Parts: sequence; structure tokens; C-alpha cells
Amino acid sequence: MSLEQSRDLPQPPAELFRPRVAAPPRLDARPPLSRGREVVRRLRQNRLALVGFWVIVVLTVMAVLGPALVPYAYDEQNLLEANEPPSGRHWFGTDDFGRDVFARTWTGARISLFVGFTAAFLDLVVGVLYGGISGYVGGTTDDVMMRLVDLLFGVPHLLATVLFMVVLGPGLFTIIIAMVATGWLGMARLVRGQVLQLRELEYVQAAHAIGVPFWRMLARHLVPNAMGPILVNVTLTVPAAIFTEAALSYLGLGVPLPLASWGTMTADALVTILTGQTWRLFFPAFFISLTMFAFNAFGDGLRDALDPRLKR
Amino acid sequence: MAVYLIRRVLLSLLTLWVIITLTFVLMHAIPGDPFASEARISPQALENLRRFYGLDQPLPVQYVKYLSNLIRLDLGRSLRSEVRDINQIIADGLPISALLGAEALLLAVLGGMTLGVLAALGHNRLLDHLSIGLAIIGISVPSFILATLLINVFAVQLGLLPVSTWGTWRHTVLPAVALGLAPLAYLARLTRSSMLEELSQDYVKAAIARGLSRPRVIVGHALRNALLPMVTVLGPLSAGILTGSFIIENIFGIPGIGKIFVLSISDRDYPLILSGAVVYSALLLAANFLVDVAYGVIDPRIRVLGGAR
Repeated sequence: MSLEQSRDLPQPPAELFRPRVAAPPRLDARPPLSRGREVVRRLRQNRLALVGFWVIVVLTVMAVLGPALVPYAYDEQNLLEANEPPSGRHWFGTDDFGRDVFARTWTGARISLFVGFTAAFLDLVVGVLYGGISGYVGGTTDDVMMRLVDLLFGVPHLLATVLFMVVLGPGLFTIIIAMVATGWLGMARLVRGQVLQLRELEYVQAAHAIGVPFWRMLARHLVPNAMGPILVNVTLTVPAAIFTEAALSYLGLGVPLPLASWGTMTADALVTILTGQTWRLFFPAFFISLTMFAFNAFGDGLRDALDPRLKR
Repeated sequence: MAVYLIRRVLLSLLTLWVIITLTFVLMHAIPGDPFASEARISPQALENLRRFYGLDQPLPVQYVKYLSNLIRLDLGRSLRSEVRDINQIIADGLPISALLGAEALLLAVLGGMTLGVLAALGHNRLLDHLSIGLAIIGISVPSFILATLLINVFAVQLGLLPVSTWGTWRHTVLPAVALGLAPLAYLARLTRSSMLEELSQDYVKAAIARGLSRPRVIVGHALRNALLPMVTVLGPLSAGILTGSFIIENIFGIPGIGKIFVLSISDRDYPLILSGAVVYSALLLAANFLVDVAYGVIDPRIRVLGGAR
């Protein structure tokens, strides 16, 4: 039957003719999304994660610009203007040395974010290398390397960090080193698990067969395909590192004075709950809580977006 | 099971030994002498002090001596504290820390699970919101800030509870809450999701279809299974509470081992730092070990897996 003829045939009313087979999916309605876009789409539906993301962006911008917005340095003392409440001159007030709390708060943000990002990045580098080698080489090497991780995993993290601080002395970089000294273990385990799964896949076997060297394999084939869980781990490492830095600084084991860390600012402002200059306590306490919230919310959202089955 | 247990004990002991050795090496790697900061000390007195603490001997000898003393549960002598015997210092501080930790853990477990179950049942949207709100506070507000807030509200503004130090049970309330709220929030969230998952299982529907009362199904069937994963997080949780006590005991001025440990660091009291690390690690490893054993006892599936490994 040609097309010409079919046009002349009487058509049955549409409501009587319902195909029993499900209609093929309408591809034009929504083109299939790539995995990355799918994740972004799911992430954007998660309001909490979205809030977290934008708070992180704003905090980062303020950490960069903040201290430059006021004409005071974070360590600039002016005893004539000590303990002034927030005003047009000092937006967040001043502390007992007359230092501008606004400048100090954003200097603290710089330190917190710097420590958080650097520690997470170093954890990533060490963990990916260690876990990647362990998982990819396998056999006895894997056994030995993982037993070592098991062994070190038993060491209490904060304790180890404190001990490293004692030996290395206080300072911004010693904190980071002390945290990475134990922090990479989780990442190494995670990467090894991922590599163990991936290396059985055909594309990895094929790459191995055509002689792709180990480093290239790790960088081009293994890590990109394990990026999801790794990214989640990194996002959740940042607030942990920020907390550790603040807690150590609070105890006087962190960054040396007069550098402004949210931890030292809170500790210095502890007396103000008796003397009344609560702005000195409020701003560092508020911003560290906000930062921790933002990273945790974003990290949780990212995990849900990458693996919808894990939905709470 | 027995093989698994023995393996776990050996691994824990090995970990403890690694920690002790690493800490020992680290402590002696610090440049300078522990007595270097003591002003106006004659060379002869310094010599005597060093001999008294055995610091004049070569490092391997000190190490072996330290280990053999440790096996006999002798932690040695503090360099600075008034009570010079470290065993005595730990014996004084440990019960205080243990009481505080137990209170915080109890609060976290009971409060977290109750809140989680109630939130999962979803009868009360307010409770659900409360559990989510608490979870957000628990993960975002660092314990030292929470402690400061609690002191400000309940001790300074309302005058209900003492600001700090240690004595009656009223002194324990604020530090226990400050220490336990984050784990409580975490547990509530975990219980809620675990409970939701169990409630959607077929066996719950089947039990209700058979005519069992809802409370009985919820408590007797779903909750039992939902609580299983909780046991695994108790290990890391008690670890968190243990190390959290560093900060909380310092804020509230509680004379527990957390405060002693931090004080020993600022005092550069090396034997005491070393002892603190050993005691903390031993406690933690013991907690982890107990949790593993408990989990094997509670859930037979784990026992099989553990035996097969």
C-alpha cells in the first residue's frame, strides 16, 4: 500500500484506537542528560545543598576581599577605640586591643578556608596516590599497604594532630601537615576500593593491554571515573579541617598570635559573656558555624545527587 | 569468631605499640631539653635532674625501659605537676572524664534514638523539623561554640547552672550537653533514615497485615533491625566524645584527663604527654574492639562474614 492510498482510507476515531503497547519515550521532550549534567540538575533541586553552595561562594569572595574593605589591618591596635560596639566606623565593632573585628573576622575566614582547602587537597593527592597504587598493583603490595592503613586508622585523629603540633610547633603550615598526617587515610581507603572495582572493567583492561603506563592510567582512566565519591570526600574533609584548626587555635595550639583565627577570636572573646561585648564572640562564632554548615550541606547534597539510591 | 577476635586483639595491640613508639620518637625529636626553659638552674642541678628522669641514658635504653615499665602499668613520673606520679594523676582524672563521657554518650544514644524514631514515624511534623534542625546545629556548630552559648544562656543569663568547674551533678549538665549534642544529632539523623528504610520493608507490611498492633510492629520488629547499624557508629562516636573532652574539659575547667593532657602540652611535660597519648589510644582501641565484638554478637550475619575473612 502506498502512501497516496493510505491517506484516502477512513481513519478510526482516535479515542477508540489506543495502542496496547507503551509509547516509545519521547526523546524530543528532554534529551538524555550527560552524567555530570544529571548530577548538577539533582543538586539544584536540593535546596539545602544549593544554599550551602552559594554560602561557600560568598564566604570565599569575602575572605578574598573582606580585609581590604576596611581601612584597618587585622593586627592594627588602637587602644583609644577598644571594645567599641558595631558602628559605621567599625562594622563588627572592635576588640579589647581596639582591633577591627570585621578585618579580623575575614582574616579568620582566609585562614579557615585556606587550611580547609589545602588540607583537603593534600589529603586528595596523598590518598589518591597511595590508594591508587595499592588498589592497582594489588597482591602483596596491596596487603602490606592496607595493613599499614588499618594500623594507623586506630590512632585517634585529634590526638595525632595535637602530638604533631607539639613537635612541629604552632603555625599555619604545621597545622596543615599535622592534619594531613592522619587525614589521608580515609581517602586512601576510598580510592583503593574504587580502583579495585574499576580495574576489572574492560576499558581498563584494554588500556592496560595497549600499554598505558601506570601514571596515565591513574590520571586519565581511574581517577576521573571515581570522581564522584572522591569529590564528596573532599567536600566533607574541608569542614572537618576547618573545625580542627579552630579547635586547636581555641586551645592555644593553633596559629600563633596576633594572627586572627576564628578559634583564637572565640577563645579571646570568652570573657565577653561576663563583660558584655558579645559582638566579639558573635561574629567569629557565627561565621565558623555558617561555614561548617555550608560545606556539610553541600557535601551531603553532592552525595545524594551522585547516588540517588542513598536518598535520606 | 575466635580467630577473628584474636586477630582483632592482636591488631589493636599492634596499633597501640605503633602509637607508643611513634609518640616516644616524636617526643624525643623535639629540639631542646625539657628543662631548658627552667631559668637559673645550675649545671649540676640540671645534670641531677636529667639523671633522675633517666634522660642521660641513650634513647634505645630509655625506650626499652619505658616499654617495660608500661607493661607493668607504670606510666612514670611527671616533670612538672605537683602530684609527680603519673599513675596518680591519671587515676585522679580518669573517673571524672569517664563520668562526663558516660553522661554525654547516654544523652546522645537515648536522645538521638528517641528523636530519630519519633521523626521517622512522621506523626508529628514538629518533631521531624526539630530533628532536622538539631542535626543541622549538630554538624555546624563546633562544640566549643556550643559550650560558650550554653554557659552564656544557662549559667550567666538564667543563673540556673554553675558556670564551670566540677563538683555536684549540676556541674555536669552543661558539659555533658555540649559534648553530647553533636553525636545526638548525628544519631537522630541516622536512626531516622534507618527506621524509614525498615518501615518500608515488606516484613513490616506483612506484620501489620497479620493484625499485629502498630506499636508492637514498630518497637518489636522495625526498631530492632533499625538499631543494628547504630552499634557500628558507637565506636567512632565514643572516639569523638573522648577527644571532644580535650576541648570541653578545658572550657569548663573540669580536672579530667582531657584538661590534664592539654595542660601537659603547654607545660611541655613530655612524660605526661606520652602517657596521655597512651591512655587515650588504649581507651579508644578498647572501645572500638568492644563495639566490634558487640556487633558480632548482635548480628549473626557479621559473625559469619568475620569468620570467613
